[in-house]
Amino acid sequence: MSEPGGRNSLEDSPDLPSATRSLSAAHAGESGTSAPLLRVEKVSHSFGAVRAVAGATFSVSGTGITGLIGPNGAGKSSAVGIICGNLRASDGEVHFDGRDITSKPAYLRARWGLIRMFQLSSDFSRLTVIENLLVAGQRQPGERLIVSLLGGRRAWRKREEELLAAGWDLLARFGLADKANDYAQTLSGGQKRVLELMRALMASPKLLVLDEPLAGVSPALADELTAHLLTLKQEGMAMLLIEHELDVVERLCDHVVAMAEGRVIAEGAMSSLRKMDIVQKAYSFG
Amino acid sequence: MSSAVQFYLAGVLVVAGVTIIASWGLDLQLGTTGVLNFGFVVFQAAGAYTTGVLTMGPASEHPGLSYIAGAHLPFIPALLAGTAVGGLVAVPIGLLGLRRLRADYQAIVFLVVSLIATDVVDNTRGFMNGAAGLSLVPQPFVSLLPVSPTGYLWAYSVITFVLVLVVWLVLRRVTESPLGRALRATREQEEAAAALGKNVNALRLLVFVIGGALAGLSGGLYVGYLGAWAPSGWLYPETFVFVTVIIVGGRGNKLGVLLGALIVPAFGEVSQFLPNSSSALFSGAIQWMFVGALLLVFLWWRPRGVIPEARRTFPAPASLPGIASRGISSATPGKQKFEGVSSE
Repeated sequence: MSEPGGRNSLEDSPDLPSATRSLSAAHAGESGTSAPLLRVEKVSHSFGAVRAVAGATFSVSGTGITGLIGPNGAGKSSAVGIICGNLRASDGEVHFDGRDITSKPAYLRARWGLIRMFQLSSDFSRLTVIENLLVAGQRQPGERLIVSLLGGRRAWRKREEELLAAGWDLLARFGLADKANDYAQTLSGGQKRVLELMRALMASPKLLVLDEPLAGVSPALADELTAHLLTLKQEGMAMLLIEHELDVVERLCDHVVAMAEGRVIAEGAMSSLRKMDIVQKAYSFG
Repeated sequence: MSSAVQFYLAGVLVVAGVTIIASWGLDLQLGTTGVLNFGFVVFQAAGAYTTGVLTMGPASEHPGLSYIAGAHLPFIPALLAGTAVGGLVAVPIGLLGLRRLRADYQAIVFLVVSLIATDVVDNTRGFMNGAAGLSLVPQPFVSLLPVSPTGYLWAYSVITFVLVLVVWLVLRRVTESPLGRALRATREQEEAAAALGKNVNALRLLVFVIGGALAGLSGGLYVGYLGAWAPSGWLYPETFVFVTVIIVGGRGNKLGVLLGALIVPAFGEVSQFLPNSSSALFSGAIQWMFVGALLLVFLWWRPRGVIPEARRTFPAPASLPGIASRGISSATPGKQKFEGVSSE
């Protein structure tokens, strides 16, 4: 595994993507560690007659990795959709970092630091690898029409250079620097997962939501990704991990939420969840 | 060169300039952002009608013509108004079609808008003189430019290409900035772009308005050249000429689209020299077939066009070991270097 990128003079900028500096304090949730960073309260969502999420309630801490497990059809991905703004909750509330975000669009949630990684590959194929990272950088004034038209390159170059430095730092750290100027579509499936993780980090997340990041990757790459996630955890990045592989969940997660039939059926450490009848039953018959 | 040939060539240049501006407008939507606006010609018509009536004077001065908003504005303010109206018309149509619909459904909505718009204008005589359309639109700058028809047309083609240059410079600021990158990300994966904080609906509406304004500008220039404008000239297939220009030239590449704007009409003109082209109906149909065949050939064999979208490369920082060998360390640090991509 690559070593974390070194500190540099850009680290002190509050605007910088997380990877360029230590991830501990700044991304532990600005509201402190005592209150949960994310609260999901009695949320529901139906696809026609099928109730995918049925009053699920749980919270995610501002530190460490919270796991979300459950058999197929338990409502995990739908819950993630509701949390990240891709699905509308028909009932219930979602609070993030002190804000009620229940009815807020996905892009606003992302700007507030709730960043997700998709289950299926979602790279920007005809953008280069480094452009995939740059586009994730927040607070780039050059994305506003008036600035790009009237201000020209001068108005956004400084921020661009900061983002470029952060992007190269991430690429070096994750071992993809030699692919920086290749189109993302030319990467292998595993490299695309790494790219998406880097892209999510580039967006300065307060909470990183990972929807089955190891799905469909080779065992070797799964190990590598797991190691990356462990490092990020040690650096203080708060994460919500949806994962099928319970061994991985046990290894990574401090707190685990188990879902079945759209509801939360149990919470706690993975080792204790394994012993619960209700969880075993859900996995046996799920 | 005979005066007739010069007149023909100057006219071709004006039409080419108009087509370039319009195609760049549509390319910002289709090539850069992935918005399939199959009703694009409506915005060109909005600009043409606006510029036309604002220079023609009140309808009462033209017995037999019936239209609204007639005024005696100079050409430049009228052209600016036509540009603005092209952009303004894009707002309600964009709000209608761009939200909550997938790109292919959006395309159908805009196609239907185009059909409805032609029908409404066609059948509402008091609005823009119905099916007969506007005529007697005064020639722009007629008191300032050379008196001979050929000299005038050469001068008008120069004015057109000055505007082409201005549009190029403006569009370059948009597409080569972080905004352009966000637009391309939206094109590639809208859900992922939203998940990174991009307001996809707002970005699409933005390019819809800018593209609409450029269409309006092209329409205003065109009506100044033609002196007339009617629904039969902006039927929905006209949009597919611009689509063909973009596909042939290269989606997302302004130079490519410029080339396409020269190639496609020229290819259509070839049909004029076929035997039996004396019949206008036959000649028109053959021209459409030529354009359609060209579109299919490129979609099959060269879908990224003559000059594909440029790959934006960034030099690695000097502190990063092992990267210089990949040939990307020579560009000026902090400055983008653009490379064409040949056969990807």
